[in-house]
Amino acid sequence: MRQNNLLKILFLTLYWVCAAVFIVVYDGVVLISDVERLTGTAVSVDILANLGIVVAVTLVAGAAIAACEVLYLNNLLRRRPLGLALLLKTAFYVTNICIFTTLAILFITADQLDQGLLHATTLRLVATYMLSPRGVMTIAYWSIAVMSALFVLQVSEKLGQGVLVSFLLGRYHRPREETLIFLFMDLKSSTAYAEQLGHMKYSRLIQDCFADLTETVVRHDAQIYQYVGDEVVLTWSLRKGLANGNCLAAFFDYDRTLREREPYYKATYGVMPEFKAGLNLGQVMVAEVGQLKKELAYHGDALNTTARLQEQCNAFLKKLLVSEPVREALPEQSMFEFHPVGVLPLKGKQQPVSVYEAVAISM
Amino acid sequence: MPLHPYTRYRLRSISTLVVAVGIAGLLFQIAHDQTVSAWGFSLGAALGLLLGLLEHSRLAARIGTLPFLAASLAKAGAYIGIAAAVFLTAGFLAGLFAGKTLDEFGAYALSPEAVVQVGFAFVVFLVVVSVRQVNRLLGPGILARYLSGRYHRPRKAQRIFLFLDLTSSTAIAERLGPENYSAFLQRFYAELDRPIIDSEGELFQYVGDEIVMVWTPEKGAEHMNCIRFFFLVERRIAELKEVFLGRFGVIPEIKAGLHYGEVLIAEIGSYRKDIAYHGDPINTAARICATCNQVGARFLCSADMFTLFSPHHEEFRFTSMGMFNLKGKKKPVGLLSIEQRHQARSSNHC
Repeated sequence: MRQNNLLKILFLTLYWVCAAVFIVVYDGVVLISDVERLTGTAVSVDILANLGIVVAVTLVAGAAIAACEVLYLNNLLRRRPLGLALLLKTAFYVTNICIFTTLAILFITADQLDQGLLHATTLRLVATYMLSPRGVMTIAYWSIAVMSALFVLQVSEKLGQGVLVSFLLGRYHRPREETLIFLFMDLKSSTAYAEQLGHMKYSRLIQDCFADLTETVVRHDAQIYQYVGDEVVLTWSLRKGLANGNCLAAFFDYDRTLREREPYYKATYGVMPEFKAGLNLGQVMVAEVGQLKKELAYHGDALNTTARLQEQCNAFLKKLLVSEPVREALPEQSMFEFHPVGVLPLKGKQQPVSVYEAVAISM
Repeated sequence: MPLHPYTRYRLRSISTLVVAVGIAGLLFQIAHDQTVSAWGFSLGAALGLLLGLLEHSRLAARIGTLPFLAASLAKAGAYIGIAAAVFLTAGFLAGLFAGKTLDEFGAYALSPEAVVQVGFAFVVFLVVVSVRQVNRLLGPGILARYLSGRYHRPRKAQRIFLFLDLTSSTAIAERLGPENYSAFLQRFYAELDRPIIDSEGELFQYVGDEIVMVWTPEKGAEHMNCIRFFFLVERRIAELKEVFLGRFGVIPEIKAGLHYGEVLIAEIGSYRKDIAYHGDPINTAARICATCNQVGARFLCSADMFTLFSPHHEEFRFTSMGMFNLKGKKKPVGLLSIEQRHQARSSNHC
C-alpha cells in the first residue's frame, strides 16, 4: 500500500479514536454527575474499562471505514462534484453508523438482560434507546465525527498532498530554500485547438486531460503545484522524484495514459491531446504567501529554467527536454537514455545549459 | 447609503460567526440538557458576536502572523479566556442581583458543568478559527463553489482580468538574493488584502511573481473598482515606503494589464482541484501587462473595457497609446494608459 494512503487511514483512525475518548470521558464525567444529582444515588462506572472497550471498537471499526474510504469510495466518487460526493458518503456512512450502533447496543443489552438477541424485551429496550434523545445524539455525534474527518481529508487533497500539513506546522511561514524537481507540462498546439473546438469544448478537453493526470500523479508520488491555463506544474522532493526515476517516468506514464484514451479523445473532440514538457532540478524558495488567499509559492531560477525548457520543445522538435542536473542525478542504469540535443542560453545566466532528450528504454 | 466594501466584509463575517456559534450553542443545549429553548442559541450567538469582534481586532491581526496551528490554538485560547472573563463577570453580577452568595457562585464556577461548557466553547472556537484559516487557503467563497459543483461542467461568463506584475523583478531578485526576495514578495502580497476587499475583487492566482485578479463586469465597473484596485495598491505601497526601504532597501513598483471578455470557468483536476478560467481574455490581459515596459506605461487597459464604462471620468485619465499586435491575437488591440487625476481627492473616495 502507498505510504500516502497509509497516512490517510492512520489520520482517520486516530481522529475517531480521539472522538471516542472524548465522548466516553464526557459521558463518564458529566452524565454520571447529572444522574447522581437527579436520582440522589451514587453511580459507579468504570470509565477506564469503558474507555478500553470503546477505543478498541473504534480502532477496528474506524480502520475499516478509513480503509474503505481511502482505498475505494474516494476513488469511485473523485470525479463527482465535491458536494454531491460528500452527500453520498454521508448517506452511506450514516447508514453504516446506525446499523453498527444498533448492533452494539443490541449485544450490550442482551448481555445485561441475560436474554437472547432477538428476545422481545431486548428488542424493545434497544428500540427505546435508539429512539430516545440519547440514542439519536449518539448517532448524530458519530456522523459529525466521521463527516468532519472526511471533509478535512477532502480539503487536504484539494490543496495538494502535504500542503495542508505544511501550513499547519508553519513549515514555510518563513521562506525556506529547498531542492526540488519540477516538471512543466503544456498542451501542444493549444491555441489551434481552442480555435478549432470552440471555447466550451476546449475547456472540457482540458478538464479531461487534467482528470487523466490523477493516476500518474498517484503512481509516481508527484505533487501538483499549479495549473496555469493549459499548463500543469508537477513537483517532487529529490528523494521521491529520483526514486524509481519517478520524475521522468511520470511524463511517459501520462503520455501513455493519453494515448490509451485516444479513441475517447478522437470521438469526443476530434483531436488527440499531446503534452510537451521540461524537466529540471534546482534550488527554489518555498514560502506561504497571501493573507486573504493563502498559497504555497515557489520562486527561483530553477522554475524559470524549467519553463524555458518546456518552451524550447517545439524548437528542438522534442516532447520532453531535460536539464543537465536531472541527467546527473538520475542513476546510470535507469530505464532511460539521454541524448544531448544542444545548449540553451538563459536570461541572466552566462553559461548556457546543456539540454537532453530523454527516451524510455523499457516501458 | 451604501456601505463601504470593507465594512460590508466585516459585517458579513461577524454575522456568519454569530449564526454559526449560535447554532453550536443550540446543539450543545440539545445534547447536554435535551431541551430546546431560546437560551442555547442566544448564549451561542453572544459568544459568536464576541468571537467576531475579536477576530477583527488588533489582537487577531497580531496572532494571525503566527503559523497556522499556533495561531489557531493561541486565538482560541485567548478568546476563550476573554469570553470566560466576560461571562463570569456577567454571571457574578446577575448572581449579585439575584441575592446569591459568593460561595454559590464559586461552587458554580468550579463545577464540572462550567468546565464542560468552557471546554465545549473552546472546541467550537478552535473549529471556527481553523475553518476560517482553511477558507483562506482555498480563497474566500471557493469552498462553496466546490460543494455546489457549480463549475463541474464549464460555464460561460464575462469576466474582467487584471495581471499585476512587479517592475524589474529580475533585478530586485538578484539584488536581494533568493531568501530576501521571497520574504519581499511575502510582504508585498500580504499588503494586497485591503485593496482586494475595498475593490471587491477576487485574487485568482499567483503565477510566479505575478498575481491575477478577477471581477465580474458589474462589480468591476462599479466605482471603477478594477481600475481603482491598481491605485489602491500603489497607495498602500506609498504608505509603507519606509517599511519596505528599511527591511529590504527597495520599494515595490507595479505594472498591470486590464482586459475583459468571455471565458469559461471550469473545475479542473480530480486529485488537486482548482477552478480555472479558460479563454482568450486571460492571455490577452497577460500580454497587455507585458506591453507596459515597451510603451513606458504602468497601467494599460484594452479599448474593450469601454463597453463597461465611459472613458471620460473625473478620477482617471485614459490616454490612447495606439493599436498593438499582441502575441496570439489576430487583430491588433487598442491600448490605453490609465492615470489617476487627483491623487488627493481619491483618498477619501467611498
